[in-house]
Amino acid sequence: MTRRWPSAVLAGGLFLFAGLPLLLLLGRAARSQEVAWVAAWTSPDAARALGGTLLTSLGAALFAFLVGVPLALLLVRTDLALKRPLKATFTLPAAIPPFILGMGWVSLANPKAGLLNLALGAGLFDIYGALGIAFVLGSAGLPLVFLATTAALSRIDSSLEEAARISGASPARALLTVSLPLALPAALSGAALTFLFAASAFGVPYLLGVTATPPTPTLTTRIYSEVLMGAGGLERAAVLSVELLVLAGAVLLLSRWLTRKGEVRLSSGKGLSLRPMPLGPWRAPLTTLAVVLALVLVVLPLLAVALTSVQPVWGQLEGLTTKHWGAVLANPRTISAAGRSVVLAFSAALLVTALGLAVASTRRRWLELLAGAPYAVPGTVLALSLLIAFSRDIRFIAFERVAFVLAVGNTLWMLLIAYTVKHLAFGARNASDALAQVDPSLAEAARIFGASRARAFVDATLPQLRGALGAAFLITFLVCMTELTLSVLLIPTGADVLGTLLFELQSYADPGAAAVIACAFVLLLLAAQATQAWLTRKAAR
Amino acid sequence: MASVELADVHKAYGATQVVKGVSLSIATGELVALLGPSGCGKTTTLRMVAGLERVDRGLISIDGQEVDGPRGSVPPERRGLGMVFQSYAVWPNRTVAENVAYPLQLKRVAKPEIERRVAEALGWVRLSTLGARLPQQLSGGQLQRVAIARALVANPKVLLLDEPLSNLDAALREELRGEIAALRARLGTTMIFVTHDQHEALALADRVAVMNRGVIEQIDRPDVVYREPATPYVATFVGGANQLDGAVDGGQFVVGEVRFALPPGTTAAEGPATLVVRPEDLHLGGDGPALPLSARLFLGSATEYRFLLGDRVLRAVGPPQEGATPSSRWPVRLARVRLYPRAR
Repeated sequence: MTRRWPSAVLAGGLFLFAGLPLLLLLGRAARSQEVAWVAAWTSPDAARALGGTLLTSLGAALFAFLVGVPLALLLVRTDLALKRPLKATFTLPAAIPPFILGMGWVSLANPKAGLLNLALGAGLFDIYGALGIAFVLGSAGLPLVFLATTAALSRIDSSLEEAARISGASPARALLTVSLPLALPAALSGAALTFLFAASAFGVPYLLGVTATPPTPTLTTRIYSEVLMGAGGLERAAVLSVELLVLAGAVLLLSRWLTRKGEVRLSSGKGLSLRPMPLGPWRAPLTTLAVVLALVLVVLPLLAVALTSVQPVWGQLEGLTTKHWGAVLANPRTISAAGRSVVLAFSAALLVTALGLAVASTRRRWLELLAGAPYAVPGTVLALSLLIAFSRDIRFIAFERVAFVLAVGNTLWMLLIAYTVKHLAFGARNASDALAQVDPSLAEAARIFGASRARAFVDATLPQLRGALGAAFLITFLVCMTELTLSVLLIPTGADVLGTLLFELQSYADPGAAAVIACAFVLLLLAAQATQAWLTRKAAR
Repeated sequence: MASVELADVHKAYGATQVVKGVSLSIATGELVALLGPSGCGKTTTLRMVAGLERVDRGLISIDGQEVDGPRGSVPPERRGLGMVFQSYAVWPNRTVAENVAYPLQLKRVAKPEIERRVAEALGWVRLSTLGARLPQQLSGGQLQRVAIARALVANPKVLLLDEPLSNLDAALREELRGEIAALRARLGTTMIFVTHDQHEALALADRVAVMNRGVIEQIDRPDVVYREPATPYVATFVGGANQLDGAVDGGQFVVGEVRFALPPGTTAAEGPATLVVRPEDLHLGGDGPALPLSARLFLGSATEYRFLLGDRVLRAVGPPQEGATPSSRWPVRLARVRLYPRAR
């Protein structure tokens, strides 16, 4: 019964703003001089960039896996103390831009001026370089492993472990030989997603890699610097993007496969909760360990950012000041950047929600997959493809007739397009999940009593989608407010948004001022989370 | 093989008393069924024997050795039991053979010996050819067979079965019931069997323990439980019965205005009593009181008649009766009854 033209229009739009730019990027890479290809594979710089991406992403995935899986086991299946606050703390990095954690670690572990080094003796820690990047991205990606493993563990039918006990296995042995292998595909899939997240990350590798000695380039930071170089750089950037795309695609497929494999194994589960395993004498030491880990991985870097925002001189422990706060908040540049960010994030969130609902309403699986695809494309690659497609030079060559309609190169429209395309997945997924829950007979009843199709949708279906659509709007708004990667590459000259301002202040000028903006971000995100938790609780009552 | 002894076992979850003083002794090689409706405490009792739940009060011993009580409890892995779960609990990431081998691996049995015994156990449940399969490739009945082989492979002292057939369809249930009986005849393992299905309990068990609200109301041979139910509850739950509260008065049973003649040979004290009569013992015709007939249901081998007595419905099952149509009145007669005196 669904009509064809809405799907066609949506698919056309998606093609114009996501598919075509990516194709042009591929074309650009394919047509680029042999030199660029050869250089991309053989030049030591380019090889180092690929190596840097592989090393930091593998490191991050490994770190998240090795920390996240034991934590999930402890928090789901044992009588560890303080489970709720610990779970909330370890989940927190999912909501905070990794760049901010990176800033915190710069303040803590800069080899000369880091607070830890000042406190414990200079030169003890150095956060710069591949290991530092892997560590920061690993702790930022920790929720991906932790949450996936937690969810899988709590879905395992309790009788599976009980059967092992009766067969003669001790509680620990039953946990390790029965439940852990069953949760493993989910945990590995989380680790693969962490790899993808780390390989796509731009802010943290830039912050901790470019100025490291020796510098640790990654594909994303290399793409950025090639783009800054202009003309010939675009070619090389396009070639590097293809490398990154292939890597991301392969890892994404691996993660999907692991998830499916895990699903099959868990499908018989009734989800009865098992009695938590008593840790006995280990309870106190393990709880302490988990608390220390939560403090070090999450709380400490955020505190360091807060402290940096009130330090008179960066890298010195004495004194407190509000001068950064005053300077940033009174600066007209900050105010206009905040204004742009709010308008852009609000518009993008509105578009994502509306278009996501439209995509979901067509009930066409392929369209949903298509709408979700750009989210998996690394931000730098997406931004580069939009640059290539819509910047003035390319436009006239590529498609002459549409070009004048889309004179968006070097304007804020580019950002709006990028934000919307990238996060369309949030809107489509939320709306589609919610639509699947809605009882179609409610709208059918409205039709029987005389409502038109549209009227039935508005009166009977839409009210049930409100929660999901609100959540999609909120998350898109928050992510776009604090967005960095797309913004840095697509921002028109002479204008700022909050993300680019944060990036610029931290990278080149004024860590104190950057810390103020980062604090504001964290406060905004925490406030939003608290509000949402409160709304959920209220709705549940 | 071993005996099992429960003495005055209690268990509560929070404020809810689930098991309220169960005592039960099971001889070596015996098969006892715990029968009752859901929530009667039968599964909790079984899980306490398994060691998956602790007793609050009372003692459990296996083979004369105390495994749970005030002095502490032996964890399930050291009780040497086998258990078949209602949900099968076959590990989805292991093949059939690996599932069955697991208890032997934990006992550090040598590899060739494991292979031999796994093959033997799979033979018992007729799965010899499916050892390499993964559980996702099996049907429900096959999964339950894997669970049974796994529970038996290490020669458990006692085999515990928790509603082993209730997730299967009727035909498979019949088939597996027969197989459990055959296995038991062959291996002679002591078994405790939890079920809400009276046919299963009556068909399989040496003795049936009928549970209600956390206590055992009767434990006896199946035929005794059926023919001589100790309480009105047992009579109603096992076999189904009409239950009437009234009084015995001069050889008659009086419910409100209606007086039934008691069958000859019934000995009953005068006074308030509960009368239980099975549908097949309530006969149509004769010189009994005439009751309004509310419905007639054709059952195939017999016909069921429903009579109204005040606000109660009496069910009679017997050969079809010419002319007995709904809204007519028909005399009924008690052919065999059981009477339980009630406190005045």
